[in-house]
Amino acid sequence: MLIPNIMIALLSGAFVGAGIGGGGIAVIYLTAVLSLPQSAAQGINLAMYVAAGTAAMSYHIRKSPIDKATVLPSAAAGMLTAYPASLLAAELSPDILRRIFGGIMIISALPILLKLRKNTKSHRRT
Amino acid sequence: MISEINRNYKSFRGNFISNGGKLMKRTVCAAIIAGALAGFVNGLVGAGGGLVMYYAMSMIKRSRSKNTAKRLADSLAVCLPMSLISAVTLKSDIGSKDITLVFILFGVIGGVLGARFSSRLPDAALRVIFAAILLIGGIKMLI
Repeated sequence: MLIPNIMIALLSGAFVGAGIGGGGIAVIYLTAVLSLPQSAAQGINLAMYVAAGTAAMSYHIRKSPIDKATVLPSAAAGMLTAYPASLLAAELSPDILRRIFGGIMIISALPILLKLRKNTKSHRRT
Repeated sequence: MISEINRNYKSFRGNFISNGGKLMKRTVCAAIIAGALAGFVNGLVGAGGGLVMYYAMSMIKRSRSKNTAKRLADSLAVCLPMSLISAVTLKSDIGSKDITLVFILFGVIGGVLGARFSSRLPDAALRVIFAAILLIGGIKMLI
């Protein structure tokens, strides 16, 4: 299973590096193919996310500086809310919340695709 | 290290004052609200912080993250610290060290390659990939 593991790690690492996410793919693979428990899959995915994201960030920063005015306040605020929210998740059994957010993710993919269609149409016109 | 932090703070403060207070204050306030929401969602459901930040970056007027690649890179910068916190809390759940090491090692290689290619890919292609990943992640969360 080493080769498929490497392929999935490279692919999901590439998605993380691009800022797209890709954690979903790693977690699906680890739970469905390798039959790992959900929490272990999430732990491995997060370790990979932090490592791949840090390596990718060093490249992104060299290429063009981050927008400090938005990134720094957001990151600080996010760090403050992430931990209490994870404690709350342990109390709440977040299955319903996960489903609601899954629906939101699917719906939010649509404007990105629609904008794409609009752009191609306007390109055709010009 | 301290001088570097000091320099960063000074340039941040310089931006704050030189760009005309009101708009900048609004930007920082909007960024704080967006970041707090992203952190909350990420902590609660274990995903989605990046999505919140992506949309927030496109809504914040003064944001310099104009194209998709830059927006995604900046939302990665926001999500990294909060994921680090989640990783530390889930540390005890990681069972297999071999698989973890493979994922970290090749994830780093993939991460650098992804960062390189994302800025070279056309904006439209990047958006299609982002939407596809959102759909896959969303369906997975629904099931």
